[in-house]
Amino acid sequence: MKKRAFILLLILVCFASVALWLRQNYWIDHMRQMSGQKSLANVSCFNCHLVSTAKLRWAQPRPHHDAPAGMAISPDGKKIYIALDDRDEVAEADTTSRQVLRRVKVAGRPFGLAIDAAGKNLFVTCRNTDRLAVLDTQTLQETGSIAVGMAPVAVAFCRTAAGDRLVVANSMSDDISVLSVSPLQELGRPSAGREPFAVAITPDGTRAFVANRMVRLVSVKTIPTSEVTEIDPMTARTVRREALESAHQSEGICAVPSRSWMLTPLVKVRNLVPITQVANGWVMSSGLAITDVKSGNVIQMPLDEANNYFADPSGVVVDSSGHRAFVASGGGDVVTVVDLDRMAAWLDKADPTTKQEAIYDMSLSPAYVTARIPTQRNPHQLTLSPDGGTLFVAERLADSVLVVDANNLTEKGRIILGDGGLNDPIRRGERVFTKAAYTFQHQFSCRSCHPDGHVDGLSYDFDTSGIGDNLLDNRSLLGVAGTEPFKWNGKNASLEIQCGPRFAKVLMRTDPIPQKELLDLTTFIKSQPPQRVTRNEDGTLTPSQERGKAIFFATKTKNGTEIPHEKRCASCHRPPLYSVRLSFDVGTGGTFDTPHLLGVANTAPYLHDGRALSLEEIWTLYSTNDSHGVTSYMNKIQLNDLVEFLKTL
Amino acid sequence: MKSASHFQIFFLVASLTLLAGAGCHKPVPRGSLILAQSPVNAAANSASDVLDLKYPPGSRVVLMETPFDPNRVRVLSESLASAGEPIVSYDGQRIFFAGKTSAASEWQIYQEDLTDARLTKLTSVPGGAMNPALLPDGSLVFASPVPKLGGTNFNQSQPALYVQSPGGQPRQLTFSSRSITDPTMLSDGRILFVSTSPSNSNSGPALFTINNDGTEVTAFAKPEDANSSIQQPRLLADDRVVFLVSKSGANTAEVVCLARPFQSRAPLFPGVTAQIGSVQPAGDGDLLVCAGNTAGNKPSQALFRVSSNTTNLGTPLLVDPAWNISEAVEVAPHLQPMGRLSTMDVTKTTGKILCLDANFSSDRTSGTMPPASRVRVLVETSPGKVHALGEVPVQADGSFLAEVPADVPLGFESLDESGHVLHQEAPMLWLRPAENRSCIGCHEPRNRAPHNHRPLAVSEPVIQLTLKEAGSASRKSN
Repeated sequence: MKKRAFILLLILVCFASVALWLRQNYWIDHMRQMSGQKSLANVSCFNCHLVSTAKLRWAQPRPHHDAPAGMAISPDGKKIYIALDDRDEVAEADTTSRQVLRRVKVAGRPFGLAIDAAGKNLFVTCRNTDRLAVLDTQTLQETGSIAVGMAPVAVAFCRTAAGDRLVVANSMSDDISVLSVSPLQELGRPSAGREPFAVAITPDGTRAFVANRMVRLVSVKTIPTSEVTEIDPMTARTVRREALESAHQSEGICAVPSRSWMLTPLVKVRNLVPITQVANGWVMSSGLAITDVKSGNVIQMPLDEANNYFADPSGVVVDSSGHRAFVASGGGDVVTVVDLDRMAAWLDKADPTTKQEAIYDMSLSPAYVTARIPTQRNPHQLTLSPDGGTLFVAERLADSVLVVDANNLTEKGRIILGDGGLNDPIRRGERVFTKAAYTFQHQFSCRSCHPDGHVDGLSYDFDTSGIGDNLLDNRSLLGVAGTEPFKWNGKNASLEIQCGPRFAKVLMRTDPIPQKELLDLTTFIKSQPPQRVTRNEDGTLTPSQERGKAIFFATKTKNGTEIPHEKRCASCHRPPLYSVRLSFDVGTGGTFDTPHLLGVANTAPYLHDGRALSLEEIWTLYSTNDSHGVTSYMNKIQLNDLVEFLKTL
Repeated sequence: MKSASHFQIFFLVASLTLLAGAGCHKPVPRGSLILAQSPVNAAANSASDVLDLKYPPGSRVVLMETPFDPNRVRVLSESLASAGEPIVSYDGQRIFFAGKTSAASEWQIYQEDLTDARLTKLTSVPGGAMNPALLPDGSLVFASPVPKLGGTNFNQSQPALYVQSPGGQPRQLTFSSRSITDPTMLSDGRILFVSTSPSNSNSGPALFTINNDGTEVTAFAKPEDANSSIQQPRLLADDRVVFLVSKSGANTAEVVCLARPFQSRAPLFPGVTAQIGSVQPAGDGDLLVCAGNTAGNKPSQALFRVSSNTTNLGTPLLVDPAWNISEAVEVAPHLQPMGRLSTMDVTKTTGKILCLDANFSSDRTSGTMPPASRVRVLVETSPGKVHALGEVPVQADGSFLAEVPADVPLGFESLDESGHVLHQEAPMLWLRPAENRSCIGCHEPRNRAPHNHRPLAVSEPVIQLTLKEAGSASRKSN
């Protein structure tokens, strides 16, 4: 090994000497020409050479943990099934003894669970293999499987006049699979909003409601909305698409039996307002959307308090009588208890304007929030026993399920699934990533803007450069290892700088995250691989993608004209990261860091301020005079081919 | 070997003697108390300021270890003529209090380290210092000057808050013509304080917050009584803030909840009629209450320890016939508030203020007033002297953006097309250097989050208003 390194070094020295001999400034000229930078202060050989993704943190093996995802309870209330997506397992536990009885392998990252009315079949969404698996609850063996949309995360079972149905939220293909149970087949796949993430059925089984995590793609200065999609599970047709104004990150949805309400936890976001402060929910706050099932009207109610916040609301469940709702706060480590009778009484008294303004009143929640149940780290999914007497809380980053007496709100105990993984810096880092206690009044966590390390699809206005037009697109953290510098202006040389004092000053408005936790945090971020993309299973490209690849790496236009080096796609977006990690002016009003393109298909909107809603728009709307690579020679088909190739990265 | 043993014994004895001579004390038992005591028969005739009145000559700060015995105290303010207002550091090792060396001298802040009994004078500010509080980094916050007796008015310098890092010089945190006193820390790292208007003003006292660098001055809660005074706010373990209210000779304790501070004001002890002198949080969620004790021959101020949900003070924990106990704090480590990185830039002399909608107000009947077309920014250059700094246009959505001088009290008047004043905000707000500040509107409802929309003003050149050219405005490109 040493010998090889020595020979390599010798060869390099020889090359360098010869080059210097041939031309004194050869290397400098080379670096200037290839990097396109006038100043070489931030340029090194490693911007283009010796870059390998194989050595990056996200490409290395990592420990797996017993993090509970979705849960389902048998109709008799005796057993609870828990999806352990990081383990590729489903666990069965006794609800009384709180002991795990069995664990069974289910390939493809099992995430969402539902059980049929008889308790015979357990339905499991497999997030990484785009399928729904059916398990026999007696044997816990897989008895069936069906392909659904991309990255299914939630499933609900319902009985309709036409037979039993399953409604599946496909988070990456932005659609909903509606399946008949017998035979197991897909009846339809209507479109949802962006990143459908939770499903609930009305008590009569006639409607399914799907909550979407990301906002719809709209112009960057337009008020963003996410969607609650209402479908008819019998016919698999869309009935209504309700907009939740300035709301997103909905990861749960639940029907209220005694009222015609559908409850959706949400993050109320204020991304268009300059972030001059974070107090009083200036950046975001937590809320609960009440959708009137009959009329489709939506009212948003706050869940935070004036000086204390309960970040990242996720799972929601309502007791069978419809009197109380429980909402998990993944960042605040509590389950909020909402008295729905009090909430209804407040709504009855309020005039329409007051109702619409309710979400902005940060001191309103004591009128209906009656308790906050403390949990261990990162509570997410919730479920109630059929009799409503026991609440189960998936403590995702503690590898446990908290069992609570739902009547007196006292802790009964825990179902222990794993050891919490505290010896693993990646797991510790994820606990930091999801913890709101580091921010002023616990207002938000890293995850609030980067769900699962990804993006929320919004642009924010930080006030570091003064109040003005400073909207900047939120960038995904998936696959960022090795792509430093960070920030759109490329000023942060490392994640430690990006997430340390800078984050504390600009966003958290507290002291920086302590050094040890910061290192865990950056280890976690670096361990996050790029998001999965659509690609042939064998890794080959379709003809269109092949043509797009040729365009991406082209050095000449179709008519043989040489494309200047600095105008070629691969010059700035050089493999394997598809970024040389330098800043360029692509005609968008400044010089900006070159983002990597791994998983770029799912990171819309694009460009530094999110002005391009699709990859196509980068060139069709915002690349005047070939300012963003020479693309004007392409026809529509060629541009489509290029985009198809980009979607495979 | 034998000689070595003798040497070791000699060394040990010598060390112990030296340590004893240096005033080294054994660790203070957990649960011990720091008391501010005043002689029962002390006369406050010679009082010249508000602290003289509260802590007459002979007042002292003492340590009383468990088990409590009034005759067994350690006087921490031994060398001082008067002392009071004790607080305990977050590690429970140091005591800070206000004291003066003689009747004629000024009140300053002192620190006593409980482990070595060393008394250190921390401040030497003209006009005196009072109301010590501690930032999580160990910096001292205090109010200065100590108000003279005879009422507050515009001719008298009003107390403001200062911060002083260990070994550093005091730096002013607040910039207002109102009296700003009684700082205390909230767990989120903000400084909570009492702001009192000058005596010829109609507005009553209120609780405000600032960050540890004086930025983001914000109303926290406003008791409704204009003719009362409030003092000594303290955060309790159950997320309530207690404060003392003096009105018509009666001293009571009231609370507001952090969850809704503007709508939750209530008496702390609804059934208690005794004069309350002090309420401090203690361990296990208890409260240490100094209140008038009518039992016995002579009324005096006694100490009670009660749970936070009590309605009755019960039996005193401590009564001393010779001393009134005016304050008591527990010697114990307690939760350190969050810190905060400052966003200030001391090289700058201005800050920017963005109002999202000058037409939005909680005290306005919708639709009865014309929309504001511009806003006049006022500055109070000296107490009572307010003049216009300039005017800025209001955009169609009601927003405006201005760059204004830092560290001066600012007020605002919204004007209609013909220049009539629609709304007034008296000079209360200030911006620190390079601070970017926003508000939702004029007299905006408290604890309210903004709507998510892009204010038009941020796309326009910022209007720069300067003190030198008061009354004029210039445009500056963003």
